[in-house]
Amino acid sequence: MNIVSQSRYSPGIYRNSEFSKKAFWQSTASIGRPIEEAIESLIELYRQCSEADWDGYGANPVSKESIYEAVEFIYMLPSGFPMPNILAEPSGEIAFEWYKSKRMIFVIGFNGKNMISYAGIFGSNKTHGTEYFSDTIPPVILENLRRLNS
Amino acid sequence: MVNVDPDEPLARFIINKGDYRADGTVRHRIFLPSPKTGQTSVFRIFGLSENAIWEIGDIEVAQKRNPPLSLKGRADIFVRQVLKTGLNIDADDIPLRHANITNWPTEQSAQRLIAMELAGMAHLYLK
Repeated sequence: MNIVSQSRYSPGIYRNSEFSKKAFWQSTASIGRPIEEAIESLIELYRQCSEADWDGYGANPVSKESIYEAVEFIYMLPSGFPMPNILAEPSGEIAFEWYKSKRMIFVIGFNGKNMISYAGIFGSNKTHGTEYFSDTIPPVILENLRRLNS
Repeated sequence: MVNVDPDEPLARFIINKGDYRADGTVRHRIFLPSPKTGQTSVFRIFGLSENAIWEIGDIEVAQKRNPPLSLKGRADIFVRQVLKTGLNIDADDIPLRHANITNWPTEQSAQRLIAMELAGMAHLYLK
Protein backbone atom coordinates (compact mmCIF):
# COMPACT_ATOMS: atom_id res chain seq x y z
CA MET A 1 0.00 0.00 0.00
CA ASN A 2 1.42 3.39 -0.82
CA ILE A 3 1.47 6.38 1.44
CA VAL A 4 -1.12 8.24 -0.62
CA SER A 5 -3.84 5.81 0.28
CA GLN A 6 -2.54 5.53 3.81
CA SER A 7 -2.50 9.24 4.42
CA ARG A 8 -5.69 10.20 2.65
CA TYR A 9 -8.00 7.39 3.49
CA SER A 10 -6.67 5.29 6.32
CA PRO A 11 -4.06 7.26 8.24
CA GLY A 12 -4.46 5.01 11.25
CA ILE A 13 -2.61 2.26 9.43
CA TYR A 14 0.66 4.07 9.66
CA ARG A 15 -0.10 6.33 12.58
CA ASN A 16 0.22 3.33 14.85
CA SER A 17 3.50 2.20 13.36
CA GLU A 18 7.01 3.45 13.92
CA PHE A 19 7.66 6.81 12.30
CA SER A 20 10.75 6.43 10.20
CA LYS A 21 12.34 7.45 6.95
CA LYS A 22 12.51 3.80 5.94
CA ALA A 23 8.79 3.34 6.50
CA PHE A 24 8.04 6.39 4.40
CA TRP A 25 10.22 5.36 1.49
CA GLN A 26 8.95 1.80 1.46
CA SER A 27 5.63 3.26 0.49
CA THR A 28 6.50 6.21 -1.72
CA ALA A 29 7.70 4.57 -4.88
CA SER A 30 5.71 6.51 -7.44
CA ILE A 31 5.32 10.05 -6.12
CA GLY A 32 6.67 13.14 -7.85
CA ARG A 33 9.96 14.77 -6.99
CA PRO A 34 8.56 17.93 -5.31
CA ILE A 35 6.43 15.76 -3.04
CA GLU A 36 9.41 13.54 -2.29
CA GLU A 37 11.43 16.59 -1.32
CA ALA A 38 8.66 17.94 0.89
CA ILE A 39 8.38 14.64 2.71
CA GLU A 40 12.16 14.46 3.10
CA SER A 41 12.00 17.92 4.66
CA LEU A 42 9.26 16.84 7.06
CA ILE A 43 11.21 13.79 8.16
CA GLU A 44 14.33 15.86 8.70
CA LEU A 45 12.32 18.48 10.57
CA TYR A 46 10.87 15.83 12.86
CA ARG A 47 14.38 14.53 13.55
CA GLN A 48 15.54 18.03 14.50
CA CYS A 49 12.48 19.25 16.40
CA SER A 50 10.93 16.27 18.20
CA GLU A 51 12.44 17.20 21.55
CA ALA A 52 11.44 20.15 23.70
CA ASP A 53 13.43 23.38 23.39
CA TRP A 54 14.67 22.56 19.90
CA ASP A 55 14.87 26.30 19.17
CA GLY A 56 16.77 27.26 22.31
CA TYR A 57 13.84 29.47 23.35
CA GLY A 58 11.64 26.86 25.04
CA ALA A 59 9.77 25.43 22.04
CA ASN A 60 7.35 22.52 22.31
CA PRO A 61 8.36 19.32 20.52
CA VAL A 62 6.89 18.62 17.10
CA SER A 63 4.47 15.69 17.30
CA LYS A 64 4.17 12.76 14.94
CA GLU A 65 0.51 13.62 14.49
CA SER A 66 1.32 17.07 13.15
CA ILE A 67 3.81 15.52 10.72
CA TYR A 68 1.14 13.10 9.49
CA GLU A 69 -1.30 15.91 8.90
CA ALA A 70 1.34 17.86 7.02
CA VAL A 71 2.05 14.83 4.82
CA GLU A 72 -1.66 14.41 4.11
CA PHE A 73 -1.91 18.05 3.13
CA ILE A 74 1.02 17.72 0.73
CA TYR A 75 -0.70 14.86 -1.04
CA MET A 76 -3.99 16.74 -1.22
CA LEU A 77 -2.43 19.92 -2.59
CA PRO A 78 -3.68 20.29 -6.17
CA SER A 79 -1.03 20.25 -8.88
CA GLY A 80 -0.18 23.75 -9.99
CA PHE A 81 0.22 25.06 -6.47
CA PRO A 82 3.85 25.55 -5.46
CA MET A 83 5.29 23.44 -2.67
CA PRO A 84 5.68 25.40 0.59
CA ASN A 85 8.73 26.11 2.68
CA ILE A 86 8.48 23.85 5.70
CA LEU A 87 9.38 24.81 9.25
CA ALA A 88 8.47 24.10 12.85
CA GLU A 89 7.05 26.75 15.13
CA PRO A 90 7.71 27.17 18.87
CA SER A 91 4.21 25.89 19.66
CA GLY A 92 5.21 22.55 18.12
CA GLU A 93 3.09 23.11 15.02
CA ILE A 94 4.41 22.31 11.57
CA ALA A 95 4.16 25.41 9.44
CA PHE A 96 3.95 25.62 5.65
CA GLU A 97 5.05 28.98 4.30
CA TRP A 98 4.31 30.34 0.83
CA TYR A 99 6.41 33.46 0.47
CA LYS A 100 6.56 35.90 -2.41
CA SER A 101 7.59 39.02 -0.49
CA LYS A 102 7.18 40.60 2.95
CA ARG A 103 3.73 41.81 1.89
CA MET A 104 2.66 38.68 0.03
CA ILE A 105 2.91 35.71 2.34
CA PHE A 106 0.63 32.93 3.54
CA VAL A 107 1.40 30.50 6.37
CA ILE A 108 -0.59 27.54 7.68
CA GLY A 109 0.07 25.34 10.70
CA PHE A 110 -0.74 21.76 11.69
CA ASN A 111 -1.12 20.87 15.36
CA GLY A 112 -1.97 17.17 14.99
CA LYS A 113 -5.54 17.74 16.14
CA ASN A 114 -7.21 17.99 12.73
CA MET A 115 -7.08 21.76 12.74
CA ILE A 116 -5.26 24.08 10.36
CA SER A 117 -4.48 27.55 11.62
CA TYR A 118 -3.62 30.08 8.94
CA ALA A 119 -2.47 33.66 8.53
CA GLY A 120 -1.83 35.71 5.43
CA ILE A 121 -0.66 39.14 4.36
CA PHE A 122 -1.74 40.19 0.87
CA GLY A 123 -0.53 43.73 0.34
CA SER A 124 -2.52 45.87 2.75
CA ASN A 125 -5.01 43.07 3.47
CA LYS A 126 -4.58 40.57 6.27
CA THR A 127 -6.38 37.42 7.31
CA HIS A 128 -6.14 34.70 9.91
CA GLY A 129 -8.26 31.88 11.27
CA THR A 130 -8.61 28.20 12.03
CA GLU A 131 -10.30 25.48 9.98
CA TYR A 132 -11.12 21.83 10.55
CA PHE A 133 -8.93 19.56 8.43
CA SER A 134 -9.75 15.96 7.62
CA ASP A 135 -10.47 14.56 4.16
CA THR A 136 -10.07 17.70 2.06
CA ILE A 137 -8.18 20.95 2.14
CA PRO A 138 -10.51 23.62 3.55
CA PRO A 139 -11.72 25.93 0.74
CA VAL A 140 -10.49 29.06 2.54
CA ILE A 141 -6.95 27.70 2.45
CA LEU A 142 -7.12 27.11 -1.30
CA GLU A 143 -8.69 30.53 -1.82
CA ASN A 144 -5.82 32.21 -0.01
CA LEU A 145 -3.25 30.20 -1.95
CA ARG A 146 -4.90 31.30 -5.20
CA ARG A 147 -4.90 34.87 -3.91
CA LEU A 148 -1.17 34.65 -3.32
CA ASN A 149 -0.44 33.15 -6.71
CA SER A 150 -2.86 35.16 -8.84
CA MET B 1 9.47 48.38 35.38
CA VAL B 2 11.91 50.27 33.15
CA ASN B 3 10.45 52.78 30.71
CA VAL B 4 11.09 52.18 27.02
CA ASP B 5 11.23 54.82 24.32
CA PRO B 6 9.13 54.13 21.20
CA ASP B 7 12.12 55.03 19.02
CA GLU B 8 14.57 52.62 20.60
CA PRO B 9 15.56 49.43 18.81
CA LEU B 10 15.17 45.90 20.12
CA ALA B 11 17.16 42.85 19.03
CA ARG B 12 15.86 39.32 18.82
CA PHE B 13 18.91 37.11 18.61
CA ILE B 14 18.92 34.30 16.05
CA ILE B 15 20.46 30.91 16.75
CA ASN B 16 18.72 28.93 13.99
CA LYS B 17 19.52 29.42 10.31
CA GLY B 18 15.92 28.59 9.46
CA ASP B 19 14.81 31.86 11.02
CA TYR B 20 15.89 33.88 7.99
CA ARG B 21 15.73 33.55 4.23
CA ALA B 22 18.39 33.73 1.55
CA ASP B 23 16.95 37.07 0.39
CA GLY B 24 17.90 38.67 3.70
CA THR B 25 14.43 38.68 5.23
CA VAL B 26 13.37 37.33 8.61
CA ARG B 27 10.88 34.51 9.10
CA HIS B 28 7.91 35.08 11.40
CA ARG B 29 8.98 32.18 13.60
CA ILE B 30 11.68 34.21 15.29
CA PHE B 31 9.08 36.52 16.83
CA LEU B 32 6.54 33.95 17.97
CA PRO B 33 6.23 33.80 21.77
CA SER B 34 7.72 30.99 23.79
CA PRO B 35 5.05 28.48 24.81
CA LYS B 36 6.71 28.40 28.23
CA THR B 37 6.35 32.10 28.98
CA GLY B 38 3.88 33.40 26.40
CA GLN B 39 6.40 36.16 25.67
CA THR B 40 9.16 36.91 23.17
CA SER B 41 12.55 37.60 24.68
CA VAL B 42 14.46 40.58 23.25
CA PHE B 43 17.25 42.94 24.22
CA ARG B 44 17.28 46.73 24.18
CA ILE B 45 20.28 47.81 22.13
CA PHE B 46 20.10 51.62 21.99
CA GLY B 47 23.47 53.33 22.32
CA LEU B 48 25.48 50.13 21.97
CA SER B 49 28.24 49.45 19.49
CA GLU B 50 27.88 46.52 17.09
CA ASN B 51 30.46 44.58 19.07
CA ALA B 52 28.60 45.20 22.31
CA ILE B 53 25.30 44.05 20.76
CA TRP B 54 26.83 40.81 19.50
CA GLU B 55 28.47 40.27 22.88
CA ILE B 56 25.04 40.37 24.57
CA GLY B 57 23.72 37.85 22.08
CA ASP B 58 26.67 35.56 22.60
CA ILE B 59 26.72 35.71 26.37
CA GLU B 60 23.01 35.96 27.20
CA VAL B 61 21.49 33.84 24.43
CA ALA B 62 23.82 31.56 22.50
CA GLN B 63 26.10 30.52 25.35
CA LYS B 64 23.22 29.99 27.77
CA ARG B 65 21.74 27.23 25.62
CA ASN B 66 22.41 23.65 26.60
CA PRO B 67 24.57 22.77 24.76
CA PRO B 68 25.85 26.27 23.88
CA LEU B 69 25.01 27.34 20.34
CA SER B 70 26.59 29.76 17.94
CA LEU B 71 24.88 33.04 17.25
CA LYS B 72 23.69 33.34 13.63
CA GLY B 73 22.38 36.86 13.60
CA ARG B 74 19.71 39.12 14.94
CA ALA B 75 16.43 40.69 13.90
CA ASP B 76 16.15 44.34 14.92
CA ILE B 77 12.85 46.10 15.32
CA PHE B 78 11.78 49.38 16.90
CA VAL B 79 9.59 49.55 19.98
CA ARG B 80 7.02 51.67 18.13
CA GLN B 81 6.68 48.97 15.48
CA VAL B 82 5.95 46.39 18.16
CA LEU B 83 3.43 48.67 19.90
CA LYS B 84 1.70 49.31 16.56
CA THR B 85 0.69 45.63 16.41
CA GLY B 86 -1.04 45.83 19.79
CA LEU B 87 1.74 44.12 21.72
CA ASN B 88 3.54 45.61 24.70
CA ILE B 89 7.11 45.74 25.95
CA ASP B 90 8.00 44.73 29.47
CA ALA B 91 11.56 45.83 30.13
CA ASP B 92 12.47 43.71 33.14
CA ASP B 93 16.21 44.42 32.83
CA ILE B 94 16.95 40.83 33.96
CA PRO B 95 19.57 40.33 32.69
CA LEU B 96 20.69 43.87 31.95
CA ARG B 97 18.90 45.35 28.88
CA HIS B 98 16.53 42.41 28.65
CA ALA B 99 12.86 42.93 27.77
CA ASN B 100 9.89 40.80 26.79
CA ILE B 101 7.35 41.37 24.06
CA THR B 102 4.06 40.73 25.84
CA ASN B 103 0.28 40.88 25.40
CA TRP B 104 0.17 38.22 22.68
CA PRO B 105 -3.31 37.02 21.72
CA THR B 106 -4.07 33.44 22.71
CA GLU B 107 -5.22 32.31 19.26
CA GLN B 108 -2.42 30.66 17.31
CA SER B 109 -3.41 32.16 13.96
CA ALA B 110 -3.55 35.66 15.46
CA GLN B 111 -0.10 35.19 16.99
CA ARG B 112 1.22 34.04 13.64
CA LEU B 113 -0.19 37.04 11.78
CA ILE B 114 1.38 39.48 14.24
CA ALA B 115 4.69 37.63 14.06
CA MET B 116 4.53 37.88 10.27
CA GLU B 117 3.95 41.63 10.54
CA LEU B 118 6.89 42.01 12.92
CA ALA B 119 9.11 39.93 10.64
CA GLY B 120 8.12 42.12 7.71
CA MET B 121 9.26 45.22 9.60
CA ALA B 122 12.43 43.76 11.12
CA HIS B 123 15.93 44.16 9.77
CA LEU B 124 18.21 41.15 9.60
CA TYR B 125 21.84 41.40 10.63
CA LEU B 126 23.99 38.33 10.20
CA LYS B 127 26.96 37.72 12.42
